[in-house]
Amino acid sequence: MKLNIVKRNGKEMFAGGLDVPDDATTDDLKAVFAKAAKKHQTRQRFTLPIPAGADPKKVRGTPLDAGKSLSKDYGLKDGSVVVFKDLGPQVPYAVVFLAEYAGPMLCYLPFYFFRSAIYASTKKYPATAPMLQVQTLAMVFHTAHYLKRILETLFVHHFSHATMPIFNLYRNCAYYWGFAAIMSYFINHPAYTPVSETQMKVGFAVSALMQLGNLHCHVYQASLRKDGSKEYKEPKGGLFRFVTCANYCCEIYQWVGFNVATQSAMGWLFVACGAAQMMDWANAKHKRLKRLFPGFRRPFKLLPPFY
Amino acid sequence: MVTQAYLTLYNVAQTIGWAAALAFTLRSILTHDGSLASVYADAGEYVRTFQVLSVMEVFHALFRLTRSPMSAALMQWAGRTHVLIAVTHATPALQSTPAAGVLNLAWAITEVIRYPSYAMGARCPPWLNYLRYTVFIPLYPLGAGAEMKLMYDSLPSFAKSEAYSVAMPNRWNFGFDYPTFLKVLLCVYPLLFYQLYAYMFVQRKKKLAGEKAKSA
Repeated sequence: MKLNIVKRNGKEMFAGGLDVPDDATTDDLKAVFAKAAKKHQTRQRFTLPIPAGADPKKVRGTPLDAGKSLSKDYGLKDGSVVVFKDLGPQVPYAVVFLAEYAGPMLCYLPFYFFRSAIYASTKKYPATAPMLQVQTLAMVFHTAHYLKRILETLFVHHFSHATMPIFNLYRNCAYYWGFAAIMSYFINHPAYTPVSETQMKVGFAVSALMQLGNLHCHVYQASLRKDGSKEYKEPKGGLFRFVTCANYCCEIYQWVGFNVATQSAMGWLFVACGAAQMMDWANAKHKRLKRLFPGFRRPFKLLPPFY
Repeated sequence: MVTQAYLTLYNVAQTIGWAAALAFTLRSILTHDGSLASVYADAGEYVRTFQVLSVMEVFHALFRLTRSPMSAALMQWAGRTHVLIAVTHATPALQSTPAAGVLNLAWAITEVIRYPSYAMGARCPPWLNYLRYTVFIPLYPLGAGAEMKLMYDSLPSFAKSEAYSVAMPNRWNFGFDYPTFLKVLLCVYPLLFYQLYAYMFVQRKKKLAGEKAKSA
């Protein structure tokens, strides 16, 4: 059958239509389209057109999901219209996570290891001031945090999306690398002022505990997708019994602990930005879970005992 | 309805303010034999008042009274106000330089065209629309150039005074060196300017082409 593929502005992409087998699935369509339009499968998204008369601002076209039959599941036949959206260049998630995590880990380290060279221009302070215990521990905790994320990416996570738009990679890298560098600059500064030893110990203890909690969450989440499936499952084990986004919760408190121990304005700003973003994600996830699993309830969405 | 009336009133007020700023600027230049040295002293008060007042546009965007994104409105307002208040107003020696005069003049001409065209909205006459999308061609580079010159010239004075700077050590482990901030800003300014300038040319093509289509 020949499908009439149109862009979102309504423009027809192939004069006479795109020829696909009668029993084609969405994946077959993507393969044919990839050859015809020279656009890789990962950046293609197809939807059915919005019904005539519907408000395009409110109604969205039904997406053609992977593995479904075009004729049986969506009733497409010769001459049917399908809308194409170009998602833009994509990068695999594993690459994304490594760049986003190896980057900040490496950005942090020079300020610790090449301290005398980096702070030499700050003449007012003795660049040779002895390294404090809190500065060494901060370096260890920061590095361990990102090392954990890298190892989880390699051995634990199952991603529901294979790829991500490349623009997000630039944006996220700028965020993670930038914050790592500026936090490190102040924490390793020769004129750094430490907090009391008790406060430092409490902070790092909270941080370590929350790292373990976060690892626990990630292992649990991966177990939901053990069979390699990509469909959405209700997270209800472990800490997820109490908090919708227990993984984010541990992540936020991990950084709170780090900042209690190290106390820097830039570090707190980093937590605030991260928490604001995770608040958005948590709201969206809570809504989605409520929609998918009727009766879904949790005492907290993100940050007990507050939210 | 109320929103529309309010916005019109706001734009009319801004038009009057910037018209006054332009009038005092021109009078200053004429009465000083074409010299720009006294412009800031003679018209600066109007420029400062109405530039600071334009923070309302950030709130208009925040509360969705206008369609422009809040971040863009904030950047624009903060960028200009920073140069005007934090740099120029805080550094008396800069106020009699030609750059300060050029800044006043370039802003006043731009705004005395922009605000009435906002105020009139769809009823904006074609000639005013044409001016709005044409005067920026010389005035934007002139204004941005003046802004950069003022920031550059203020560096020694701020290095000496340490105004706005935060010195370490302190318990929040934070330091801020204002001259360094200015230098970074001077590096990114051309990029931001290029973006805005290129955007304005795209707008120019769109708006003036629309004008032609309407009259044809």
